[in-house]
Amino acid sequence: MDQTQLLKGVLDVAVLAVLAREDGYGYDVVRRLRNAGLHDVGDASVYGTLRRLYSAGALTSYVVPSDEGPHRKYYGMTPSGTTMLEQQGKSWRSFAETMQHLLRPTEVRA
Amino acid sequence: MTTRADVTSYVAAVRAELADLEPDVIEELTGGLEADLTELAAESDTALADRVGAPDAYAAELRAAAGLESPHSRRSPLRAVPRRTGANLREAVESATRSLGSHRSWAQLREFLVVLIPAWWVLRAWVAYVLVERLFTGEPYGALPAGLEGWLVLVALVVLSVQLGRESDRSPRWLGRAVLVGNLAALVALPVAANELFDGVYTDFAYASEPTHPGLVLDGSPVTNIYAYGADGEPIYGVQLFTSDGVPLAIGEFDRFEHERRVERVLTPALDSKGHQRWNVFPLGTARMAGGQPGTEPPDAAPRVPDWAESLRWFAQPREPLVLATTAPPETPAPPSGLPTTSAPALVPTPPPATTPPPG
Repeated sequence: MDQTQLLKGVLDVAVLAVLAREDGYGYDVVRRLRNAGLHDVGDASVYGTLRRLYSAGALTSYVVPSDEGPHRKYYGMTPSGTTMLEQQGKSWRSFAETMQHLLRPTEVRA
Repeated sequence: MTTRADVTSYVAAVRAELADLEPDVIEELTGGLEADLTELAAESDTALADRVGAPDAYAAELRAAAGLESPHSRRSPLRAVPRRTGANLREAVESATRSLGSHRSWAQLREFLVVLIPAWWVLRAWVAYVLVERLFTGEPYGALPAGLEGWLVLVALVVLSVQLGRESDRSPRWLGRAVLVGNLAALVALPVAANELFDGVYTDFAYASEPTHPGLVLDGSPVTNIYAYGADGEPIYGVQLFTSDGVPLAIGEFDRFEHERRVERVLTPALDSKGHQRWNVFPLGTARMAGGQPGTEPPDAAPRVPDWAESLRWFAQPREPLVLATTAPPETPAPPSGLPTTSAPALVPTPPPATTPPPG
């Protein structure tokens, strides 16, 4: 199945999970998601998600000056973001469990 | 190799795609983008557009992920409403206008009609209200309800209609068909409802313009006789009345008879010297109709027709004399020839009606 379709539903929680470990700037988040295995994640999708989470109050942002180039915009978690991550993580785990249960190989009945 | 300039122009192109957004939103979306893209570009030799796609697609993805509306729906907020709602009607409007051609003006008409769809939802609810009102009360009604119940019905119908319209793209097929039938019915009933709405107006207008009672009328009531008094307060007999145009002020044909208490009475006209009946000579006499020719019979109805007798009796009483500023009649210019005022034939001297009882 096309990973991008699956990603749409879980990009929020994925971004939150990445930032919960450590603050990061846009491309940094993209790279960490890809390194984690979400290879199909789109740059712009991540930026947009960051912006939406920021507007929703789940993220805070700050600018870090850079000597050699343009400034970097870092994002970090707010308490509200942490709560959101817990809730969405919970519902994801429940969903994943259901899917796993649904997709497990048919057991041969005795 | 992607250069710094490539990155800058790419970011500028993305920003241009987002130009319809608020500046701080653009900054939020693209702030740090340059740094990120520079880093990304440094990782490989692939051209930037090959890595992250064309700027417009990139901007569209940014918008979508950020939960922002597309520029088309943002440009006109009114258009956005029917775009999300009323899909069935909108499709009907669009296909109807599209079949007429692809000219620009048709596209404008299409947009115009689409914007009007919510107005139609309200209008069809009103039509339904008018029909319901008529079916269940059968009473004359106005455009809007008179009572609280009527208003509740109307508001409920409007809410129902608007909700049906808003949900039309999500409603099941059978409901969509039912709504379509309802729309057609409302369209057919619209002239009927509108006609009923204006009915009262037309009726009033008709009453106002219809010629009122023929003959002499005072404040809507027919005048059947006129009692004239001179400046000295004495009753005057044989007064000939004409309008300023020379038209005789004659009482109406239907006012010359009166039925009361099974006694049929007639007013009797004066006769001019040529023997013509003159209904503009006052006071008119009265006579009891006795099978023969009215007016030929001696007016002897006084004892049997007390009200007429009464009115003639009080006519015989003098009125308050007037104090006139000038006793001489005002200088009148010579009237044009042919006017009846100069050519009115002399009357046969008529005695005061015999119905006048002696005073006292």
